[in-house]
Amino acid sequence: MFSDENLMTRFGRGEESAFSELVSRHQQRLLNFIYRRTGSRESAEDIVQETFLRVVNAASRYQATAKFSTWLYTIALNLWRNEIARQKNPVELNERDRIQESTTLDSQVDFQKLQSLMQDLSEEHRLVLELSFIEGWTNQQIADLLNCSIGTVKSRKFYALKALRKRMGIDNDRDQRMPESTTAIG
Amino acid sequence: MIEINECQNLQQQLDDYLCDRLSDFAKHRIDNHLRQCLDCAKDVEGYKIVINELRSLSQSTKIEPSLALQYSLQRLAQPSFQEKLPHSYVVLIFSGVTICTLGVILSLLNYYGAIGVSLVVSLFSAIFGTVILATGLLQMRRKDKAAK
Repeated sequence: MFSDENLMTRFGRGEESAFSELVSRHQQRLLNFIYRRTGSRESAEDIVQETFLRVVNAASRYQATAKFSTWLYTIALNLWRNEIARQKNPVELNERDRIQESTTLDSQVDFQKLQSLMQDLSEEHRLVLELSFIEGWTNQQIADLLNCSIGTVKSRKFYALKALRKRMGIDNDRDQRMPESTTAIG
Repeated sequence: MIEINECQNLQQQLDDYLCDRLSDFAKHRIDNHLRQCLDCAKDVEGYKIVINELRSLSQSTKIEPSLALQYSLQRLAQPSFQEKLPHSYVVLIFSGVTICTLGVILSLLNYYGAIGVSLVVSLFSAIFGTVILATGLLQMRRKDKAAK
């Protein structure tokens, strides 16, 4: 199986089938990653489409210096941030869209649960958790995407995990006993 | 003392343990420790519950790309959607033809004594232009093959 970087290079040389393969590998994951941020299928699909359009436009100049997925998610995140900056009241819009567009009631409830679970976390902490435990990225990949060190990724990950544990009522006495810097630094 | 070392070992490898990135040996060592140390077991269990909840919620809220999105993504790769930049072979062919023509004109003018440019320079321009033109044509052929 060809790597993403190899497919991208081949697409840059004019092989359209390489792009189709990249799309089929990444479209669903990327769509859900953005959907968890926007809460709206429509705007998530717009962002995914625009992301891949930028990939197409940059294909002939593509250099495989970083992982393709890191580059892809960086484009998508930047587009989402631009979208947030453009909206006057993103929370209100997302809330409305979410109610209208979620496919089933269960899915709606779970979406609200997921959002409420993460609501106290900053975007950076949410990103680290999602990329690590939902998308399965390595710390190095996350560090590349967020432009920070691996140590920062790890400390954000455990800060976020502890915050969620507390929110879910599974607080551990040990957290109070052990100083922050001594836990989970590997 | 051994227990404290095992607790420290767990804390150092907790990230890899939770992300399932440890070797069988390292994982076995931690699993053994978790069977003996209640504090660590409780700690790890708490993290696992949070991670499982995250995964389960993200799984149940998963959406599929609509047909419209799938269709438009497949169309993106078609040439009409791609950036309207000239291919490198177009530039090469154009430059080749220009330099070659200039070389031939100079050679002719030189032959009829209209100007005093050296014949070597004129012929060099014509040959150099022909080489650039040939490179451009080769690139175009390769690009066509790749597209097919």
